[in-house]
Amino acid sequence: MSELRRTEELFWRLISAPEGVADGLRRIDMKPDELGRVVAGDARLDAVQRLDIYANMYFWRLLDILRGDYSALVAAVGDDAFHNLVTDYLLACPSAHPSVRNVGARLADFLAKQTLAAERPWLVELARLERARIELFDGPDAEPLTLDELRARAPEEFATLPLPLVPSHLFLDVEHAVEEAWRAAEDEQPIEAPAAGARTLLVWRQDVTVYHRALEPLEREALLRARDGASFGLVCELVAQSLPLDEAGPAAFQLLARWVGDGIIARP
Amino acid sequence: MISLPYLGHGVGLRTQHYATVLDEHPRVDWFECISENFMVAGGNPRRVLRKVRERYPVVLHGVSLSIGSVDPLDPAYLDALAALAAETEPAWVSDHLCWSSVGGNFSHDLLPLPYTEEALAHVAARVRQVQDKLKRQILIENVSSYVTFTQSTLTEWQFLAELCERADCGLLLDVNNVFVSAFNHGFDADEFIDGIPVGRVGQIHLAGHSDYGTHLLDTHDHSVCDGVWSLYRRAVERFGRVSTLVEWDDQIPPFAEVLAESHKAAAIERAILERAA
Repeated sequence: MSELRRTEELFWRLISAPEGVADGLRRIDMKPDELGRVVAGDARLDAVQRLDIYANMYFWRLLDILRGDYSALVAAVGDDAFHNLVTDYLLACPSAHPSVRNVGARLADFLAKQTLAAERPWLVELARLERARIELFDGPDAEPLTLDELRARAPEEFATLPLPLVPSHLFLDVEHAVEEAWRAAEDEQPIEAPAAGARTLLVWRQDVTVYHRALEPLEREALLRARDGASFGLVCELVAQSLPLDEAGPAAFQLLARWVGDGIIARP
Repeated sequence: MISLPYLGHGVGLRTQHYATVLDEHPRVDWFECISENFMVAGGNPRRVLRKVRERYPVVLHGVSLSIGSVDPLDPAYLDALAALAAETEPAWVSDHLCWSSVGGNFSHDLLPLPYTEEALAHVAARVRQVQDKLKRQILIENVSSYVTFTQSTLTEWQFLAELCERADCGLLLDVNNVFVSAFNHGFDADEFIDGIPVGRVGQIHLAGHSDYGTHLLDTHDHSVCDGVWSLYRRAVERFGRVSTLVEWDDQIPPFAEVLAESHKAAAIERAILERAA
């Protein structure tokens, strides 16, 4: 092994130890004076203190980023519990991507295995919602279909009108009304355990703003069909299976107008 | 040698200032953009960069190239950087003399290298690899550091000068980092400046730092201190007219305050060059 590799691997082990460089030295059974043969100390700071500057920056920088990425989760569990969660998370799942944007990509999966989530499983869903919003914030762009473009179409074109969804969208299946917990955090209100109840959240970006909302079962089914390539005519048929015939047409057009107004449908 | 355009005095593009920059079009010579913030598929970051680029010269400044790591260079990262550079057409691309990752784990910090022949050969080969990929010379920046490796056989400035020769790259001379590291390691900052080859400096950075008594920390959360301004004067006297940028990354003040620091740098440079003329 090269000297450079030995140096970098030792440095990493020591600065990423959960309780600082002294803890890191204990974990690899290395004495501080042995470290002194790699890193020079002086009268102001010894080798451990100098490396601790990096250890502190490593942890506090990533904690700060994760606090920003998961602000609703922080509000729900409190600062101390979040700090402990991040300590364990960074040890188990150190960042594996050059962009710091992805540091928290595995936090929801990690949280799902922790006691915190066993007591309050909705926390995992809240974390997934926050992560989805980050993913879509800088996801791929697409030109959305506009209401003016829709109105300009001849009536006979609607049956075959394709309804591709913009790429920056996702469907998030959850078992609790976590969108309410997210809203409470956003409004800086106390977060109460959200009501249980399976639902699908649609998360999407319109222009530069990320939105989410819970879908009614019929709208969910219709949007999933549209995503999978169904034309507006097929969406109308789906709606007609659930509503009286005289209501189905207006309801289908209402859905279409909402989707287009929300910027969910891409220009075909 | 490095041959880059002189852009004047720039400011780092930060999210807190997007609205001011896009709506008010302040008079700024150029912007430096953190590459990784824009190496994304779309959304607001790419929109902002396109709009800024329509009006201003832009340079790309990376923090995650990890040029000194013993891990292989990340081909996906290089592809994304090359694509961003092709779209943005920056005046130049820069990153740091450091390593950030090992064993596939990323620290998201600018970790110091030992200044050894082994590290020099390793970094020089990788800089060449990056330059081949980007089809341009890049600038490598000196970092602030807090440890000295006992195995080092070169000074930092000797390492940088030799790196420029071997890789035929340029330098982004961070004057604040020189000041911080000089205090932390007890070397003479003037000796560092005097050891840097004149024809290799393509850009200068200025920033604020924090004084912890036992050490200085490169925090970018203050205005530039008098000691760094003095060192900047020495750098201008040695390197002449070099595109200069003020970094401010934490406790970020209103745009006008950052711009005022940039104007101060411009005035210092102008005064020194007029005196020399």
